[in-house]
Amino acid sequence: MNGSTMRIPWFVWVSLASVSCIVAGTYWDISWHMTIGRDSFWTPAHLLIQAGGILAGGSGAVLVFTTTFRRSAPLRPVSIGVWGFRGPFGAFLGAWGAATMVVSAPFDNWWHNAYGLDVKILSPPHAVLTIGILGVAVAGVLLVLATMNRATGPARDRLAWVMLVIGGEILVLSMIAILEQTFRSNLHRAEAYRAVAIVAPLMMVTFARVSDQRWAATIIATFYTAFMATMVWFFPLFHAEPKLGPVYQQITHFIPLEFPLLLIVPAIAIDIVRDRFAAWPRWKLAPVLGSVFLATFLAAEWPFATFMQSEGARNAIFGGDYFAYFMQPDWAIPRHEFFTEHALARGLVEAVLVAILTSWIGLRLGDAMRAVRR
Amino acid sequence: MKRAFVILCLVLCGTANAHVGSPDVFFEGDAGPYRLFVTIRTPQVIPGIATIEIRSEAADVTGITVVPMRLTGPGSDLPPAADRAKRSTTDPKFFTTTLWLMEHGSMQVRIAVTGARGPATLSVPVPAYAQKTLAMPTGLGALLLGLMTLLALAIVAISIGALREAALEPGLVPSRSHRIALVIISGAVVGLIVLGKLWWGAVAEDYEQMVMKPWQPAVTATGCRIQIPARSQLLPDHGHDMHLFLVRMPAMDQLAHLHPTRDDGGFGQDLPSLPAGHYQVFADIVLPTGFPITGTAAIDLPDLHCAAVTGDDTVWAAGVVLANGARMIWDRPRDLRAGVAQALTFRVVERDGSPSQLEPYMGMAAHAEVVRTDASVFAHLHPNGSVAMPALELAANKLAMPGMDMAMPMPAMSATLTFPFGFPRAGDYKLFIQIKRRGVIETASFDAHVIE
Repeated sequence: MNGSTMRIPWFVWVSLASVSCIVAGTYWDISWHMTIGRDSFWTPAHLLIQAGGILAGGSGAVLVFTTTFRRSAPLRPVSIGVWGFRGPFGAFLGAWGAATMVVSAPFDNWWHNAYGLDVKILSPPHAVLTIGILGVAVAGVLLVLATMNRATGPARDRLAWVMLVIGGEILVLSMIAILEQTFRSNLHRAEAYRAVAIVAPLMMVTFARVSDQRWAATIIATFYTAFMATMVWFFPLFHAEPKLGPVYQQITHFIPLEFPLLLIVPAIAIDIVRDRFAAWPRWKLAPVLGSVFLATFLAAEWPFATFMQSEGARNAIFGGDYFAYFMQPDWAIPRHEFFTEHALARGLVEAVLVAILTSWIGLRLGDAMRAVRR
Repeated sequence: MKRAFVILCLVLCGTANAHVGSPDVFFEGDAGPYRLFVTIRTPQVIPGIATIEIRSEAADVTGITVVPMRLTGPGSDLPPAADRAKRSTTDPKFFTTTLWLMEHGSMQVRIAVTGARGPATLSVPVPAYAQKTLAMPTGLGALLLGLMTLLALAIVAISIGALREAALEPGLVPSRSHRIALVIISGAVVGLIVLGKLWWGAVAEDYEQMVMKPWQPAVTATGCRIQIPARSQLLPDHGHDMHLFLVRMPAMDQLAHLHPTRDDGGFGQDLPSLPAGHYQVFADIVLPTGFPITGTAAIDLPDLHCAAVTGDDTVWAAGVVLANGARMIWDRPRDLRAGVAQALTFRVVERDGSPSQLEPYMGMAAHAEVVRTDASVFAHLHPNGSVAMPALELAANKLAMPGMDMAMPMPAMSATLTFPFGFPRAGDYKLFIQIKRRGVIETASFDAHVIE
């Protein structure tokens, strides 16, 4: 079968399903903690995340074992060797990510016993879990990418779309990881823009560089926007109440995460700049991409954040009055106030520099990923 | 959220809880027509899971649910979904459940009872605080270290494998070695692990700040005057900002129960006549949130020849018995076991065996102090248990309907006294039971040997 007529292999769909499970599970889990509070190993959200790990780990193991022990395995010519085993790069990484997710469980359990149930998203055991999830997500990208890079014609186009969807999902995961820094009351502080500058240009530029799509960054940002906005509209339709106390906010339905940040604006700008200066070397292109990203994002998000704190956003469209049960009434967030900032200009300059650096890393990473064949 | 955590720590960290070495809550009270004996075994870490045991006096209780709330202020009005307590299969009057305590500070467990006499509610204050952090068991530590090492080696091997072959066209064989990359990637992985360990240490240190620290006031005595450093606003407990206990160690043959008042140096109190010796000091106070604290200190006193005690103050010396031939009798169970919640029952009888007529002593039928011989445990009890009265009043006020008089009812002055309590650890204890008869405050003492 040549590259243009090949069918999309099963592990591409498994990779997509795996990352999708993890993204949906992670979102649901955080909403669960904001709404219900109490959880267990068996909550639906946790089961979704675990299903994502099992899919990635299982398919990775199957690919490695069949490629290693069957001399005629179709992936053998496009495999890498690790400790005597053979398989696609993404298969090894998927199995590793799933194993890391499993290892985080006893660590997390002990952590709760030693220090109490964590009330922050990122604790050391959660960081181990996040690294595992990252391994699974990147593995999904690599499996699709290697297949895409070997394909031509319509198959390549279809694979490119699958990869952009996974890219959008990874952007969602990345933005969830910086949720605490980008909550609405923080959006007039430089910290929020620094945090976004770390993840968003990296994701958008990397996937755009890999893809042949002219509007790749826009497509990824659209996926993020559509996903986050849909969840804001969808989650409150379901009844839920806190099962932990003290309860500071009256809650009768699931509380969604924040309305999406306006990443769509810098994404369009990135795609225009990429198209206009396609021939520029990385060192020249990265400063333009980083600066344009931050300037356009700041111009769009700053006034939008003001709107999100206003009466106009307190409705089912924008979810401006959805608060977690543990948010105390005198905190800035339920009072629709911004945290104060004392070093905005310096912080924004830092954010520009960060965006330039992550843009350069994105370009470099994208070029490396275009070369992946196995 | 972190900011609130820090502010809370500023208020509570560096203080001790009510009682010393006895973190569980024992309470006997009425939920409407139902008499309940409630034991709340607090978790060692916060957020953590408390175990709740409820014994109903009557058999007509059909169901019990519990919810955690703050005792006062925000968080004290909206209950979460209730947890249903499980009825014992062997004892239909006994219910148990678990409950998450998510925040440090002054909390309450609100208990809703259903039964033949209709629904009723009771609130039990709980001071929630982290008692300690746990060390990782050696076996689990070794397992996690082994798994981490394996995962670290695996990611290095996968990375090198990918560098060597991932970009090769199908069928080609790798030719380059990647020794420099191996060193760089290994270094990066080790660096990541080291950074993770440093982060873990920093987080653990933050949690350590939240662990209860004893309040150890610098108590000083000059002549017949004792001084205790001031705390800010306090709630009066039985009409006094502070209850101060001095116990001569190690014999525990002298006890003074005093009530210092605010003066220029903090709290001050005229001491009564006391024999020279080494005294353990326990100072009970209640913060405005209803969170009770016991400060501990030690002080050496010379022979003191001072004025006699007045008001609610009292002193006791070994050998002193109740006046007029009266006796206090402890209906002692066969065994006293650590961790077992029970009602410690005492009877006060006159010389002829008839029940004594007790008078309220600071609004209660009696006060009890339980002290372990090494002073590592101190609990100030009342007939309704180990809960501080101001906290109980705050909880009762929260349950009150508008216009309802929620002044704490004066307990019936029965000559039979019960104190709900569980000894926290095995060992030898001294119990001091203080009552008032014919206008005189009297103390009886008992020795208790508690087994595991």
